[in-house]
Amino acid sequence: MASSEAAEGGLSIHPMEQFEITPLFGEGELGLLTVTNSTLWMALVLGAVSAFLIFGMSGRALVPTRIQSMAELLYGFVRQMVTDVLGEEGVRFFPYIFTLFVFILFSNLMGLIPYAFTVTAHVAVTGVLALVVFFTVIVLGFVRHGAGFLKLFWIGAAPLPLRPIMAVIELISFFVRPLSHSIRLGGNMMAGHAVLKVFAAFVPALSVLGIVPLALMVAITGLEVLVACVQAYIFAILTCIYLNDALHPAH
Amino acid sequence: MGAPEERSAKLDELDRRIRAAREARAPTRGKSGDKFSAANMAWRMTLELVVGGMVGAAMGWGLDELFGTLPLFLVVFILLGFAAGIRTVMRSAEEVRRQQAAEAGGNQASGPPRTPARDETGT
Repeated sequence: MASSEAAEGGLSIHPMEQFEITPLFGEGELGLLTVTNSTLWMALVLGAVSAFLIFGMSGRALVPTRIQSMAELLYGFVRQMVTDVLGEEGVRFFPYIFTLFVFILFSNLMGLIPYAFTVTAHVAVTGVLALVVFFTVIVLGFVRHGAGFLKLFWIGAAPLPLRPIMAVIELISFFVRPLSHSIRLGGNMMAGHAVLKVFAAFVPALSVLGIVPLALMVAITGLEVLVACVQAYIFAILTCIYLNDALHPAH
Repeated sequence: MGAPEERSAKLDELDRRIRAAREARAPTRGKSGDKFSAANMAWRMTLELVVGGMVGAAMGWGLDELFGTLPLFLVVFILLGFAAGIRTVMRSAEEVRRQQAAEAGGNQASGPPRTPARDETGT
């Protein structure tokens, strides 16, 4: 794509074009239920996850095949993470956290395929994921501790005149988490893909010397694979930490 | 007569070996990518600081829109948001400290490392 643009004249970089959401069938406006490229890639991610886990585990062999051992490793890894942070009682949240982790991991990694659409590069998507965590924390906090959960905002240790101000500060810092949670994942994915696109535009512009940005792109792609995995892990482990705070709210 | 005792001795031996194998495997986790996770922690705190101000500004703006007192709440809530950001960062730092303490304690005792830290926060 970049080469044809560069041939038309000069250096033209459109790093954000890849994040554009377009309707999949025909033209027209984007409605609430329009099937877009984002929808398509979410479905592809879900399909890949299902295929990986269902077909991988369908053999149930005592000596696992390659795919089965990968699925088992993934399961064991997340299971270990959940029990490390949440303890034994947190195992109830394991299906939820495993789903989150695998969905984010797969959409991050599948987004690295050339011409793919990265679902998690949109804050709209990661924001919803973070909001689900946020509301889970609120519901869990109220179910577990009743109105006592609100003590989170009313610091008993502070002197009385300061408490309303502290309450506002606590309220704001309560909203910081879902926002930073979603921006971190979305921002990381978007930045990585934009950087790749910028370097890709340099390759045809520099003709022979273009080998330098090309080599850099290979290196950055490797880094992006790492970032994709690490960000999925961070999202999942922060979800665990937030849930842990809801279970044990006293700071 | 000696058979059950012999068997239980064998089972004890097996138990001991399983435990030894588990302990030998346990500390290998979490050591790799230490530097990367430190960078992540730094990013996380930076982001929390910035987002705190953003949330405060958004709240202040919203209140101003509601009451028609444009600069007042915006200014106050940006400051409060900044304080909230610092508070979140300090909480994250505390969390890291607890985790490191738990890891240090876990290496010595090789028991479940998370429990003492949890009791500390629970009370």
